[in-house]
Amino acid sequence: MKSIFKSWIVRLQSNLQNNQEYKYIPMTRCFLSRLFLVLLLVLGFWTHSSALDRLKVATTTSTENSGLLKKLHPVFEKRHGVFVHTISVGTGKALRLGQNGDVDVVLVHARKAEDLFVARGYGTRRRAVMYNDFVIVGPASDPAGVLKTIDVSEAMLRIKNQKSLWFSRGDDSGTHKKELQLWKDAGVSLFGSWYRALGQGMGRTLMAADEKSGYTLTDRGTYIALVAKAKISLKIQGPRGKPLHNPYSVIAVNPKRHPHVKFGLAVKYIDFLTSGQGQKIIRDFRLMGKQLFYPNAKRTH
Amino acid sequence: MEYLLDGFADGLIRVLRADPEVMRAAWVTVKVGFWATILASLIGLPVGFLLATARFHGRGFAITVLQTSLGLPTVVIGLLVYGFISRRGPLGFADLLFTPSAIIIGLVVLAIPLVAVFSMTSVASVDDRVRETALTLGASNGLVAWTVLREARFGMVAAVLAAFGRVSSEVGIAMMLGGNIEGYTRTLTTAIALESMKGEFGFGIALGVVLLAIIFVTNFLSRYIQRS
Amino acid sequence: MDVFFLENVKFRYETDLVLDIERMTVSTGEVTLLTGANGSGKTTLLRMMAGLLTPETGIINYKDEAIIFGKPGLKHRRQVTLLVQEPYLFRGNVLLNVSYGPRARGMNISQANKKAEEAILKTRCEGLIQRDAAQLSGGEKKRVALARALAAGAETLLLDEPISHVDEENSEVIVGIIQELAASGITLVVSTHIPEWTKSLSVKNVRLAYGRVV
Repeated sequence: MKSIFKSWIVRLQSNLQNNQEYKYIPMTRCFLSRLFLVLLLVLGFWTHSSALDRLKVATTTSTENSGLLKKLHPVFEKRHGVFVHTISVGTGKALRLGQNGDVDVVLVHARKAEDLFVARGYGTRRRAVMYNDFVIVGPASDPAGVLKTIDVSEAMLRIKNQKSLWFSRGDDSGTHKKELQLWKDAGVSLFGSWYRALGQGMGRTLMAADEKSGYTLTDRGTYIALVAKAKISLKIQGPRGKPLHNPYSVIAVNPKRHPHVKFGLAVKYIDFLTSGQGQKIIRDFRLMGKQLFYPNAKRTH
Repeated sequence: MEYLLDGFADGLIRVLRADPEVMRAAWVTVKVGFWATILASLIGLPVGFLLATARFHGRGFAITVLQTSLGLPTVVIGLLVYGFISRRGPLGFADLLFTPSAIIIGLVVLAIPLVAVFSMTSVASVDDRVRETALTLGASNGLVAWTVLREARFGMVAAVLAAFGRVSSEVGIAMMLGGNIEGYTRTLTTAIALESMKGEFGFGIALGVVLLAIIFVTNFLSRYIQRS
Repeated sequence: MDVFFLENVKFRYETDLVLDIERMTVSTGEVTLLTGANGSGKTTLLRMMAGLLTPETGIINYKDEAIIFGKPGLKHRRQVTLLVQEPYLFRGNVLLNVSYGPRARGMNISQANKKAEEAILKTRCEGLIQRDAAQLSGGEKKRVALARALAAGAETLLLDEPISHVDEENSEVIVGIIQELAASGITLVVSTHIPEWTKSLSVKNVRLAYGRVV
C-alpha cells in the first residue's frame, strides 16, 4: 500500500516537473493520486476527540441561550476532568431523553412534568437549583393598562378585556405551559382573534409582538438579551411575584432504569450545582448587567 | 430589513475574526460532511453502477424505491436513526446518540439514494461503445466496469459533490442526532437554526455565508482533482 | 485451422432479415475481404464475430468453441479485436488510449507504453501522442483507434470500413498498415464497400448482398 502511494507521489511530482517532454502518467492513477492528496489533507486535520468521560445534560434552549451554563460547566469540567455535553431542546423532549436513557442528567423547569418523571422512577436525586422569572411585556404605550396591576391574573384579564393583541408561543414549551396556566388561573378559557398562537421560539415570538405592538409572556433572560441588542422596544408591563417564578430542578437519570448512565458523575454534577460555589456562580451571573437567576438550592422538594 | 443588514455586518465581522465558536461549528460541518459523503459514496456509487449496468429481477422496483427515498424528509430519517441508536434501540449499547458519528449515520442514509440515483444516471448515459471497445481490446470484466466508470467520472464526481452539498446544508438530522452540542456536534446549520431561534437573523446569514464558502472550496478542490 | 466457423447464421433487424449465412470459414493467417453495398450485413457479421451481437439462430465458433455473445470469454476478447467504423476514444490523451490493450493484458506501465509507442510509430501518430482524444479529427481518431487495436496485439483483427470517411492522407497510412499486417500473417477480416484499394492484397473475397454470401 505504502509503495503504491509512494509511486503515485513520484509520478505526480515528475508530472509537475516535466511538462514539456511527454511522460506517460495513466490518468486513472493520476486522478487517484490527486484524490489521495486531498483526502490526506483532510485526514490530517482529523482529530479524534479525547477519551475523556462525558456527561450528557439535557436542558432547555432558553437555559443554554442565557449563557449561564458557559460559566458553570467549565468549572465542573476542570475539577473532574470530564466533558459536559449540553443538549438543549424543549422541556418535554429533555425529560423524554432522560426517560429513554439518552442523557445522564436533566436540568429543566417544568414542575408537574418533573414530578411525573420522578414518580415513574425515571429520575432520582432531584434538587432545586435556582429560579428565574417570567415577565409580561408589551408596547410602551401600555394600551391595556397592566403596568399598575399588582396581581398577575388581573393583568391577564385586562389584556383580554381590552382585546389587546396577545402573542402566545403556542409550541408546548415550558413558557407556553406557564402561560396557559396563568390564563387558567385568571379564569380565562375563551380566546378571540386578539390571541395569536405562533408555534415559534421565544425570540421570534418577542419580535412578532414587538412588530405588532402586542403583549406576550417571556422569560426575563431572552427579553433582556433582545432589548440589549436593540432588537425590540417592548417594556416590562406586568407585575412580579411568586406566580411568575420559574423554578429549575436538576434530576439524575435513574440508574435502576438505565444501568449504563453515568450516575456517579451525574451526582457530582448535582452536588456541584447545589454547592456553595455553584450557587455563587448562579447568583453572580449577569446578562447585560442584570441578574437573571436566583439560587435556591436549600429548598427541598 | 435594516436590522437584518446590521446583524449581518456584525456577524460577518465575527466570522472574519475567526470567532472560535464559528470555527468549531465550521470544522464539525466539514468533518461530518466529509465522512458522510465518503461513506455514502462507497455504498451509493457501486449501487448506482449496478443499477445502470446489471439486469436483475427487481431492478425497476429498486430504482423506484431509491427515487422515492430522495423525497424522504430529513426529520423522518432523524427519527428512524434515533430509534436505532437511542439507548432503547437495538444499537443503544454503542452510545452513539449525540456524537458526530450519529450525525454521520443519519447523513449517510440521506445521501446514499442521492449518490446512487445521480451515478446511475451518469453511468447509464455513457456511450455503449465504451463497453464494447473495452471488451474487444481484451479487458477483464473488472476492467470493463472500471473503464465505464472512468468515462462517467464527471457525473460521478457531480454526484459526490451534490451529496456533500446536501449533507452539509442539512439541519434536521444534525439537530436530532447530534444534539447541537457546542464544539462537538454543533454544525453550521444547527448553529444557524439556534441563532434564528434567538432572533439573531443577521448572524445566522453570516454563518450561511461560511457554509457556502465551504461548499465553494469543496467544488474548487474537486476541480483540482479532476484536472488531469 | 479455422479461426472462425459460421453455419446457418441468421439475424433479423425488426422484421428484415439482414444476415443469412449458410456457411463461412476464416482460416489462420488469411485475409478475408467482406464486400457489398451499404446495408448488406457486413457490420452485423463483424459484430457477431467480435462477440458483441447475438445471432438469432446458427453457430459461430471461434477456434472450435462457441462464442459467448454479449460477454465473450477472455481468450476470445484477447485474441480478437474489432475496429469499428466510428471508433470511440476513451477520455484522456492518445497514449492512454493506445496503451489500453497492453494494460488490459496485465502489462506494467512501462511495458504497455513501449507497446503503445511501437503502434503509434507504425500508424504515424507520434505527433498526436499527448493530444486529448476528444480534440482529434475524424481521420486522426481512426488512425489512433487502429494504433490502439494494433497495440492490443490480437491474433485476429476485424476491421469495419477502415477507410470510409477518412481523408486521403490518413487513408494512405491506414492502407499501408493493412498491407503490412496482411504480409505479417495476422488473420484479418476487412469490410469495405469500395474495394479498389485492396487490389494489391491477396485476399479471399466474400461478397455479401442482402445478408447472403454471393
